[in-house]
Amino acid sequence: MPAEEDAERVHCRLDELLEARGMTLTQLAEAVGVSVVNLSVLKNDRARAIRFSTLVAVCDALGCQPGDLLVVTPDAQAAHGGAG
Amino acid sequence: MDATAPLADARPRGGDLVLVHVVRAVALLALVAHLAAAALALVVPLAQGWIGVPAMVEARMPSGQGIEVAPAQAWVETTVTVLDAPGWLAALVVGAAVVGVAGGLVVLAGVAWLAHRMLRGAPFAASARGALAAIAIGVMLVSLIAPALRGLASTSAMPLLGSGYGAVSSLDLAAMLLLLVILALMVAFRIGERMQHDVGGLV
Repeated sequence: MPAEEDAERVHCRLDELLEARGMTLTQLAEAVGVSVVNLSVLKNDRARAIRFSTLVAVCDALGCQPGDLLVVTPDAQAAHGGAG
Repeated sequence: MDATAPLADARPRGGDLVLVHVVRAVALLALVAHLAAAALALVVPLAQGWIGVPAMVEARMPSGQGIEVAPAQAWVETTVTVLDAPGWLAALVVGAAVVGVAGGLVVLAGVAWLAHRMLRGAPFAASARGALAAIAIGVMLVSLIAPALRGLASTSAMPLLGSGYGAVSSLDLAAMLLLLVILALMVAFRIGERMQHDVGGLV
């Protein structure tokens, strides 16, 4: 079973994508039908899971692919030789 | 993120919200009333030097006048006042009352706590399962242990009361069924807790 901490390595690039398109979080929320609170959770990397429906709606609204929206940051422990 | 943290969307709405508020208010009011009534029922007799022993007495049913009543005699439960009761009898009677009161308080407090968790939008938590376990114990105290102690007190008091009295004995089958329901609810809450953990942080 994946460690819970691994979820924290997923970084959401919603901020950069919104800025590039000149959109606000509120406008995106209206476009995709997801609450601003939930999008804020996603934007601030506090989400632990994302529904496919949310992912598709956000990608459609921003004209991007899931890989543009979500990136996995390198494992700090693995990068340092897997200490511990 | 705390997986058992309140979820804004999980809070009860509309009729459910009213229902949960009513349940919590009634549970809290009943808790206070239960405590006050129990204190009066315990303190007044003890202060006046008497105790009320549960016993069965023969009740004569009205018969004749064209109405056939069978049986013509029946046993009804009553409370017999015993002055200067021996210490062991007083201990049994008071013990039964205290156990019953404690059980009632635990049940009401548990219900109020569950309602509180629901209002916060997080009914599925380890503390809620703990509240359910406490409610189960409370139901056992009220419906099984306290009646058993009352029955023991009643049986023990028979030599003092003499003929014409019978011992009280009661076994509450409905309470045993209620215990089964509570145990099933505890399992359901454990599943709910796991599901709440799964959706914690889901967007």
